[in-house]
Amino acid sequence: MMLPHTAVLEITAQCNHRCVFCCCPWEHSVSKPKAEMDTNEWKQIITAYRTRGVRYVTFTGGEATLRDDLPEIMDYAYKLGFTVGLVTNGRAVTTKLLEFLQPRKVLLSISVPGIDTFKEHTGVDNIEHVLSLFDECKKNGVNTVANIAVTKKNLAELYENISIPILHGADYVLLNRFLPGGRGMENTDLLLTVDEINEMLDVAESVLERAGLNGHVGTELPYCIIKNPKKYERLKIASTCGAAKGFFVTDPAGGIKVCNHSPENLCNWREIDKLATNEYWLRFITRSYRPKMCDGCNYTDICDGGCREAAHVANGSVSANDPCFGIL
Amino acid sequence: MKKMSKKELDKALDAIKELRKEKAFGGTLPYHHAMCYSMRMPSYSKWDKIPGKYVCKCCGGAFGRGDKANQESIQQRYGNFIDKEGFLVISDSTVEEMIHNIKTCRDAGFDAKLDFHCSDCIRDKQLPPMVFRFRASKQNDYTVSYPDIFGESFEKDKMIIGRRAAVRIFPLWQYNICGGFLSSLRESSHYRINYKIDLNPDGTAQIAESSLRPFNKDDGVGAFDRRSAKRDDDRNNISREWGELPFFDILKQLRFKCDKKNQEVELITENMSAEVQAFINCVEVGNIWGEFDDEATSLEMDIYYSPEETDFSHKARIWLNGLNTGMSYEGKAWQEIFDALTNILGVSTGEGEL
Repeated sequence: MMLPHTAVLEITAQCNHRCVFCCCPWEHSVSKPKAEMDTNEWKQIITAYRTRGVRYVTFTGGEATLRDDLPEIMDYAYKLGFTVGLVTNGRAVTTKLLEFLQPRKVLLSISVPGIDTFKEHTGVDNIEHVLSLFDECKKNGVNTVANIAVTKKNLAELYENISIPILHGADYVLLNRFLPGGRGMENTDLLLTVDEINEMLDVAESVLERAGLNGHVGTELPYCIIKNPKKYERLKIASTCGAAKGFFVTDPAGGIKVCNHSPENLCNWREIDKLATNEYWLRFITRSYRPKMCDGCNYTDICDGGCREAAHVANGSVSANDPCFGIL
Repeated sequence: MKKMSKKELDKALDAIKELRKEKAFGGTLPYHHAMCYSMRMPSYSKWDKIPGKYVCKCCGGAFGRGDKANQESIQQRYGNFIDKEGFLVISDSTVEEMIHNIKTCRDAGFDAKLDFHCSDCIRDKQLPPMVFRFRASKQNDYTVSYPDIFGESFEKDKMIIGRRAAVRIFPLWQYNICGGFLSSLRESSHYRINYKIDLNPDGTAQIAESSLRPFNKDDGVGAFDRRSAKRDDDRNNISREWGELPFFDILKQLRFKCDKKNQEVELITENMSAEVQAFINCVEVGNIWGEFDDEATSLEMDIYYSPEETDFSHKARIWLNGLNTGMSYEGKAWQEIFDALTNILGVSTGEGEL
């Protein structure tokens, strides 16, 4: 069977941050993968995906840079013709790693959840290092994304939170509104209201316009909550879910999931062709997960009613309401 | 860290904007794989401002910004291009793939075009913003909706187009497949893949499990030979080696009749699914390698894909079922894609028929 164009590889469950918004399912509802796959198995996976139509791989975790063999595996993917991305909190990123990334055109997505509130969000006092990484990447010709999880705690400093990484050299901005899941299930008070989500969009648009940069909102938003969708020129906003359609996830033990948020392990990668008949997978492929509250809505063609896996984790079903409408 | 006031921040951001106009700070960002969530659709709120001038295929209404498509507007909204400084700018991978296919279809000598719907029809009648069409044969038009609408009934499109058409809406990542395959059909006078087959005592055979896996340089299984391969740099060699093999689901179902007396192997065509039948219609068994005697339990065999000899529409169905060319573009190729984009947006006004 053919797979989505992007494979997200959760190469390890280890992490050196303790982010309050972390959505990794093993931080809450499911146990941590016991045995992580070795270098060779990851290479086998990458090969298998290549023959099934995948063209982009994004390495993440946990914290992907904690694996010593990350460069070897990334290099393997690059040489097979993949475009490679790396999502990181930056703490273990070294100059040597950046020098490795640059010729392979790896796009580095660095988490910056707050400036003043960075430690409060991550448990680590590391903002200076993270910002210096953007500088160093710019100097070394590595393209960067400032990956900002927006919560109730950092909304007040969002203008700074977006501006400062840009001033340090970030090429692009990715906003992820906080969604319950993983460790985040213990911190649901961080959830933004609909008004706060709109405030987030307005602030981001104004910074991006000022800096002449583009960005987008990673977590899909229900179209109906966006008060004035026509006003956003620099900020792209998605309202449909890409899980199983544009991307899919392989966890550290080789389990296949539709998305990072998902607690559902569908099969092992060695049985990946079984996805073609997997009901959960097909539900995402066919978009058969629309919430009841969306019945009769005119925007169903362009909107999935928000994040389906966040609805699943927080409200019990993939066709439940997005958490922005409340948690049951 | 020095704290900056809002005023100071704004001043610095303004400076950044200026700085980015310079070559060293300008440039590029492929964003679509940078995150765990995929951008699936453009914002329809901007759709009516798409560069160029269009007539809605559904209601006949005019839309578009009216001016000729240009690099800057495409950069900001929908597509990929090489900017003035020669940097690759990627802002929407989905459009990239659309253009890829139109370009390769056209290169392959097939008519291909985009039809557009206005934002009112997209919203009110739930139509796709773009419909990608190409003429696969005199009998069949293949139509692809963009963005992909998973699980939607295809009758909707059939109705819109209003023609006798074989229509299928299929996932985005297969767009790439179709273009590459069309291209390869035209580029090749033949197309050969080498497989090992297992012989059964009853005189039938099937492709060995060991062949139903990616090409292995060590044993040569799965190797193929395509004439007229245009590009031969290292990276593309890798793409080709890994790319064009995996329609394993169909291959698994193939059955062969072995005539040891006459040293012949032929494909069994009876009682096959429509999918396999379509496949069989455009392939033939080629050379057989190995000792073909009473003791033989396996052989090596070439299967040829011969585009000139069969109706193309059968082949078109094959790419729907999952060929992957693994094509990748870099450098100059992007300029070609952008040229194709400009050309397409310039000519595709919704007037006329294929």
